[in-house]
This record gives sequence, structure tokens and C-alpha cells, in this order.
Amino acid sequence: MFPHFGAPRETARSLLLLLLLAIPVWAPLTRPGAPVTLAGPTPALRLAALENGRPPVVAEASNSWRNDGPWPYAAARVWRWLGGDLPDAIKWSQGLALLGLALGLWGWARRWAGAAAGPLAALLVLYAPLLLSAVYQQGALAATWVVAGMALAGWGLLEAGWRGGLLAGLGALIALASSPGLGLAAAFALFALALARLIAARAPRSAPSAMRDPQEPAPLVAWPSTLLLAMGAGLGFVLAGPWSSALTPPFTLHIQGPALYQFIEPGWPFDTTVLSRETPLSFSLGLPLLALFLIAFWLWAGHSSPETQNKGMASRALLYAHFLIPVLLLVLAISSPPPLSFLSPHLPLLSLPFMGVAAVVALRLLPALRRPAIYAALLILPLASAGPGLSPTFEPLEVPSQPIAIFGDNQIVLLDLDVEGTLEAGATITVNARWFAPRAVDFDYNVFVQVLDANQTVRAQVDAQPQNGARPMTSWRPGEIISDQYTLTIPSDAPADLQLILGAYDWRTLERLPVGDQNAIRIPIAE
Amino acid sequence: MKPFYRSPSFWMATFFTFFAIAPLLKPGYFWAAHDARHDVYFIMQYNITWDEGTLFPRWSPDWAFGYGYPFFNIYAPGATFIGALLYRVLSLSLEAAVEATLIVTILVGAWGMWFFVRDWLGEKAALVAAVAFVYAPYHLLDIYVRAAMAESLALAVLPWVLWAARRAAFAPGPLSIVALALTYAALHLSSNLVALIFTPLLGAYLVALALKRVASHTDLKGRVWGWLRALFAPGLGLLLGAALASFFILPALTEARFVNLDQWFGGYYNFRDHFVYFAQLFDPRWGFGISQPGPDDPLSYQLGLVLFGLAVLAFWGWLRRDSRHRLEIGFWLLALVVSVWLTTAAAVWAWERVPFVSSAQFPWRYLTLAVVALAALAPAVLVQHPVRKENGRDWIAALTLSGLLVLGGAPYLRVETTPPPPGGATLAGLMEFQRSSDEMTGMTMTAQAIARWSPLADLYVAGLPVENRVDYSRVPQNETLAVDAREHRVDRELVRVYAKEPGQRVPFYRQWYPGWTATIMDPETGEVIERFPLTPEDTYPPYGLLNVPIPAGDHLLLISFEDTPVRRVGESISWLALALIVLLLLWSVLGRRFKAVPRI
Repeated sequence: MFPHFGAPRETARSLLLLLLLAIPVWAPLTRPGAPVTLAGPTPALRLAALENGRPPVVAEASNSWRNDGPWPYAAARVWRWLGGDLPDAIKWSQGLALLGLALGLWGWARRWAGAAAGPLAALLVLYAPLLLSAVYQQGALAATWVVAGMALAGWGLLEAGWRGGLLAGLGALIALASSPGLGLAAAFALFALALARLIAARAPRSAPSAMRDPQEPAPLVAWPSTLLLAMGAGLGFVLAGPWSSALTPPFTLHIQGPALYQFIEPGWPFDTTVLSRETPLSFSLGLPLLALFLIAFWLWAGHSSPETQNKGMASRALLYAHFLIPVLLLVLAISSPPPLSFLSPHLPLLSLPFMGVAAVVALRLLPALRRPAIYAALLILPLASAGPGLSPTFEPLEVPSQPIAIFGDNQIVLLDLDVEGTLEAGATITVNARWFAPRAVDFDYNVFVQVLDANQTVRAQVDAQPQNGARPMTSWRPGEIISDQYTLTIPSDAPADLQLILGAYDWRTLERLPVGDQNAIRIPIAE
Repeated sequence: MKPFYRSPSFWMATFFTFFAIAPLLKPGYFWAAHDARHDVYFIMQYNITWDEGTLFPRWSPDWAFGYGYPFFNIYAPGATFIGALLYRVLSLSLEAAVEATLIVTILVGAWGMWFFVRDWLGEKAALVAAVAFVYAPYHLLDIYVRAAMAESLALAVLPWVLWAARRAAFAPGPLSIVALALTYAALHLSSNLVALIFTPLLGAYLVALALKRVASHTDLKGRVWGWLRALFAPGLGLLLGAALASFFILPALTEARFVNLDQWFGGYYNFRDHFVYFAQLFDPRWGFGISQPGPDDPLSYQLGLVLFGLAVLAFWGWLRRDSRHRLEIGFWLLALVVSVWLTTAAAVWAWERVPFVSSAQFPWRYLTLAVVALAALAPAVLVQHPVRKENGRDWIAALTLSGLLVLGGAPYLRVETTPPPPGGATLAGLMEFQRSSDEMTGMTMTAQAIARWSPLADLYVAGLPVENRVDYSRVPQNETLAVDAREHRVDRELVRVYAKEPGQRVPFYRQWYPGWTATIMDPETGEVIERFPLTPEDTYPPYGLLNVPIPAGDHLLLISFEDTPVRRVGESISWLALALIVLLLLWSVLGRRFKAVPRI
């Protein structure tokens, strides 16, 4: 089923080496609870909604291209079938995405730059702080799947024949079915690679090409992979495009694109309550990846060796593609042109597979790097430099099958409610609420809980900033679950027919945040 | 094989330890480290006894607020002895003595690993292994976070035991047997816990070495002889080592039941609350807190990412089947897997059912063994893929890996110095420590309650000397019963006592424990009238303190902490073992040379 990639025993050993060295990347997913991410309970809520066959939110999507596709949740449902809970299913899906990414990069780099390159390329990317941040800070499940699909497609594109094509198609399908917007950007990058592949395949077989695969049977076999790539991308697009019924409503993070310095900054910031151009998250590409990428570029462009002396356009096309595509993606992320600005935070992720594969070309261009001890050091370097990216914070996560309500334009979500006491004259009633914000909230709204009589007259109320002002909404980190408690004492002369409502409002204008077509929700009281 | 002092690798390994030693030279003391205060008071107590001429004390007088505790009878005294020695010889402060002891453990450990791996894999590998050992996160945790003096010393001794065991297996002779005996005895005297959990691993290692030795024999007779040859010398060395340390081992094993062990194994110490989560093994987060139930311990149980990577590469090389070191590398891989497994909840079955496993108290203590395995595996990549005919590049590889290992450990090279707590390194400080932490409040089996304070503690805190340990609050001091303290020492008390009637008792602020003996003497001549061991019945509640029966009349009463029969047997065996070791040394000096071990 898999394309040919060397002697089975050697291949298995190489793959085992990668999987073992990548254990620290997966290991945090085995912790109880869920990582504290910007996505918070959103992916688990989406999964619950998909399982129940209903949309999880009531608000309208503002930009369909930002949605998650069905693929990551389909993968998560496997875990649900095995009896796992919602947060664990999301972790499972995340783990599978990382596995797919590792596998794709391993095959891609191995195919292009030799056996030793496979594990190294995968490790450089897996331990890149940017990727770890996407997984363990942003909780960007769909984006991780897009990158995984991209890596698998990249591998498929460099493989010969229809088998490579199947892999390319599957990768493209995964990428597009995971996120239509980001998947489309990935598809463009993959098509650029496919084009370079087609050009490279035209190089005469006798030419001393550095990157030509001597086993390649004929130039035309590059077409199947390109064709199947297009078919896979198309199918994924159908599954997850704006017209698809499988769309899940948007909780997409409203984080900004990175600034240039953030690609090399080694810090590990995690504060998104500040809405600024320079998002305080890690966008670091990782010093080992960046260094080896630059070394590889220098070796190719400036260094003279028998392998790099072939200056034919065709044979250099793949090299150009691997070096230029990631640079273009990074430039796009920084410049954040308006139509693509919503993709900016995740575009650098798409550059990672290309950079990883380009970086390990250094192994091919400089044989000294393949000496066992030096190679060993290179393999370990990404582990040693991963730092805090491997220490995500976890907390217990209880997710209801559906949130109680969503206020405003996906601004704040009332996750669940618990009421103690009875709704009658003279009674004290306590409302425990769990909130979260899918994105940073731009204003400190007040929360109110009111007891109304049949004439809509307020008989008792709490009107305050969350947690009595201790956690105003602008201090809520996206995804953070905020527990709050409201205690009301109903006057003894209150009539019998009472109701309890909850809402949020702008205290400057007294305008309430809409919740669906209402301006507050009625809290049911158990008899 | 050239002498170690001519080996650049040895000096390079020594140089690399300096980065790990440096934080301990920082002014101040890490009072908040887990056992940092214990260490200071251990040395203080040891030194007080030493002042009275007892080199290896069994009784510590000021535990449990002055009621005393047979601490060094059940807790290996080696590290504290070194600390006390450095304190006395170098005139250090107690705090500096602790730090100096930890520095000694770093150096001893690095050198031990160097010698062990040099015999096995050569000098360049020895450098990498020594550096890997020093910068293994759990080793650094033992030193900077836990300040676990005894375990650090034991960990440092482990490679020496392995070195000697390997020599005894491959080059049996009197010197290698003596080396194994001395190192194994040193291990037992460093930490009984570590000795207990390490011995099965050592046994398995010797079997692996024997397997390696008999591999070349094809016939049954050759194999049998091979097994005997491979195991005889190491077996003898281990036996001699255990015998040498039996003055401590025997009483520790047989008399530990007379202290309240639940105090150290129940409640917080329940092992089920301290299993390491899989993710924690790879989590590079560092911290200075103490072990807690759940996955969020505020301290690190990581293997070390660089060390883990090198172990994976060793496994990868091992799969290639083309290394002559395959068997031993395989053994260390298995040792790593088993020791890590024992730290996790997956091993709860072993903890509940397999003898000795739970004696480690905390599951994460098995990381001690993992450190040794990781350090042994770290240089495997050098020998599995040797850079042939390129000696210079081989050195570069060794130095590169060493540099990576230092960088991997660099974020953890820090101590948290804090101002001294109330009382500092004084007896008053010890009392305050016991009161505030409930540590060093060990009780013996006759105690019904854990002491929270004592009249002696009042004296210490007030800066007054304790001139005797008679509980005068229970002595009427009249014609019925009167007691006059005459002599007071760490492990004895002489009083003149007058009792009007028989059946009276003299109470002391000393906990009962086997060995406490009462001697009734004539007050004028000093002639011994009666001498008898004190039993659990000779105590008064609630702390099980001594309540010595006395005959009617005017007498001298001496209570003293003496050797029990078990202790005497243990000491005799130790003397016998020492004599055998001297004989072996003489034999070696007179006729034999210490055989050089071929790299096998």
C-alpha cells in the first residue's frame, strides 16, 4: 500500500527512531485533563454538537472560510467510539494529527534528501516552538491537521507513480477537509511544489542532478500525483467548503499575525488578553530548524560541491520550491494582506514542513553532517531546544454537550448553569455559572441576574462585573473557563409567579448583549 | 590502559563537573531545599556524638524534641559521616559542610562513571557517560532541590560498584574482590534504600556479564565453569561487602521494627500518591516544591530530553545487531525501561506484591537507577558507530555530545538560597524545625503519640544547657523518691537515686529502644549490683519514655545505650570481613597484580 521507500527493516528502524524520539511531543497528551489553550472547550463542544447532529452555537458565521472542517472531529470520534470522553477525544485527534505530520515529513524528506533526512526533518518540525504553541497554546486542532495533510501530500508528490498520487490526494483531502481557508492556502503551496516537481521531472536522466531520484521511471509519472492531489483537494473542498452542511460554526480565534522578530524570539509568552498587532504567543520557528534551513540554503546557493554544481533550471526547481515557498508563506503572514489576514496566525505553520524538508538537504549537501555522532547531535538538538513548549499547563475540563447560550457575536459563552435554592418569596437563590470567551473580549460587560415577577418588575437582582469585579471580561484569556456565583435574596413580599433571567450588558449604554433573538436567557428552576 | 591521571578524558570529565559544582559555591545556603535543614541537623547530631568519642553513633540525642532517636541505627550514616568529617577537618560551618559533601558526591559520581565506562567502552565514551551522569536532571534534583545528601552519595557510589563488579567478573582477583567489597559496603553505608533497590539490578547485571563470558563456550562443561568463574569473584566481593557493612545492615534490618515505621510510610508517604505520570518523564519544567499527589508536582521527574534522545539512539544502534557491546547495552536499555516503569502507576502491582519494591518509599526514587542506565547508554552512539581511523573526529564527537549534555542540564543548575530560618543551625533551630515541620520527630514503638514539644525543647530555645534528662516533673524529690543527676552524656545518664520502697521508677526524657540498659551500683564503691536491659514495659506514656525500675535504698543508677546481641554479631562480622580484606590485599601485594581489564 505504501510507496516503496527502501529495505523494509531499515525503513522500520528509521520510523521507529523517529517515533521514539518524538515521544516527548506526544507525552503531554497523556496527562489527565486538557491543555489550557486559547481554544478552551470549543473543540470538545464542536465534537459534542456533531455527535448530536446539531449546531453547537446560535450565532451566524461571520466568515465561513475560517471554519473548521469535519475531518479533525471525524478522527476524534474514533476515540469516542472506544468509550473516551470529549476532551480525551480531542487530545486523541491532536495526537493523530501529530503522527500524520511526523509520518508525512519523514517520508517527504527521506524521499528527497536521503534516508537520514527523514527523522531529522520530522523532529525539526515537531519540536518547533511554533508547532508546539499551535498544539498546546492555541489548541489549533484543525490547523495541525492541515499541516499534517500537507506533509502527507508533500511526501506523495515526491513519490513516483499512482501510489504516490494516492498519498498526495489523501494529504490534500485531509488538509482541505480540516479547514477550508487554511486548507486552500496549503493546497496552493502544494500545487507550487507539484509544479516544481513536474519541472524537475523534465530534467534529463543523465544529468548529474542533486535532487533527482535515480529510481524514477519516467518524467511523466509526476502527473499522477499532481492529478490526484487536485482530486483530493477538490473532494476536501466539497466536504468543507462554505456551502457544506458539515460546516461547524466559527469559534475561530481572533489572534493577529506575527511580527518578523517573533519567528526567532525564543520566549514562550502566553497572553492574548491584549489585542495588539504583535500577538503575545510563541511564533518561533525554532533555532535548530532555522539554523539548519539557513545552512542548507548557504550550502546550496554559495557552496561549491559536486552535487550542487548542476545549474540546470529543471533540476533546481524542487530546491527553489522548498526554499521559496516557506519564505513566501512567512512574508504573507507578516504582511497580512486583507483578504488573507484571517489566515495570518496560521500561515507560518504551513511553512514548517517546507522548511523542515529544505533544512535537511544540508545532510545531503554536506556529508560530514551524516557522521553518526554529529547526526546524533543533530537529532537531539531539537529536543534540547524545545524548552517550555513541552510543558503545557493542563487542567480538568468538563464539557457539556451544548453550551447554555452565546452572547453577542460569539463574544461570551455561558457554558453551564447550576441553581441552588427555590424561586419563592423570602428564599435565597444561588446561581453558579461557568463562562468562557472564544476570543479576547473588548469591553468589560456587566453580568446581571434578575428575579422578575409576572409584570416584568425586578424583585431582586445581582448586577456586577464577573467575580465581583475580580475578573472583568477584558481579563479573560480566550478559552479560559471562568466560574462565577450570583446570590440573590428574594423579598418576602414577592408574588408567587417569579422567573429568573441572566444576561450581560454594556454599562455605558445599558444595551444588552443579544443572545439569539433575545436579550437575556431565562433560567429554568428545578421543582 | 594508561593511568587515569594521564588521561585527558578524565580531566575533561572533571572540568565538566565544575558547572554543576558552581551553584553550590554561591553565598548563602539553600535552607528551603527539601532535606537541607535535615542535613545540617544530621551533621550537628553526628558531631555531638563524635565529640564524645563515638565515631559511628547509633543514638541521636536531640531528635523528637530531645527524647532522642536511634537514627543512625536504621539510617545509613555514610553521607553524614563525610559531612561531619569535612566539618571538623576543614573547620566549615554546618551549612558549608553539607554543600561540601554534595560537591564530593558530584565528583565521586562523575569519576565513578568515568572509571566504569572507560573499562567498558573506552575513554571518549567515559567522558560522555560521566558528563551524562552529572547533568542527569534527577541527579541535579537530588542535589539542588532535594539536598538529599545520603541518596546523592549512594548515587555517586553506584557506578563504582558497577566498575568493581565488572572487574570482578572479567578480571577476577583479590584486588577486584576487595574493590567490590569496599564499594558495596560503601553503598550500604550511604543509603539503605538505594542499596536495597540497586542490589537486584546489580545481580541482574552480573548475570548479564556472566552470559557474555560464557557466550564463547559451546560445551556444557565449559559453560558451567564459565558461569562459576564469572560469578564466583563478584559473589565473594558482594558477600564480603555486605559482611563489612553488617555492623550497620544487621541492626538496621532487625531493629527497624522497633521504631514507628508508619510515621515514614503512611499518610503523605503512601506510595500510591507519588507515582510519576508518563508526561512528567519528558516535561522539562523545573521546580523546588515537594512531591504531591497528581500530575502537577512542583518539582521535576524528567529523564532529561538529551539523555532520553541518546538512550533512543542507543536502542536504535542496538537494533542493528552489529555491536560487540550489544549485550550490555541491551541490559542497560532493559534496566532503564524497568526502572522507569517502576516509577509509574503501571507498576502498582509490583509495588503491592513484589518484596522490597515498596521499600523505596516513593516510586520516583527508581529514577536513581534510571540515571545510571541513562548515563551508561549516553555514549553508546560513539561505539555503535565508531568513527574509524579518525581519532580526532571521535574526540570532537565526544565533546559535542558532552556539550549537549551540559546544555541540556544548564537550566537546572541553580540553588535557591534563603535566609536562615528561626534558630538556624543551632539546637534551638532544630527544635523549631521539628515543631514547624513535624520532621525529625521519629518515635519508637513504645510511643503512643508523636511529640509536639518538650521541656527540653524549652531549654534549647531559651539557650540554656540541658544538664540531665531526668523527668523531674514525675519525681517527688522527697523521702519517698529523690534523684540527683551526676553525669549526662549523649547516650548515658548517671544519677544517684534514693527510693524509700521497692517498685519505684526513675523517669527519663529518653525514648525506649533496644540497647538501653540500666546498671544499679553501690553509691560508695561503684560496685555493680544489678544490670538489666530495659524493655518496652519500662516506659511511661504517651511518648514511651524510659521509666527505670529501681530497688529500694540509695544507689547509683546508670542508664546507657549499649550494643544489643544483634549489633555485636554485626560488628564481629564486620571485623572478620575487614580482616579478610586485609588478607586479600596482602595476598595481592605479595604475589599478584591488579589485572588490567580488556575492553570486552
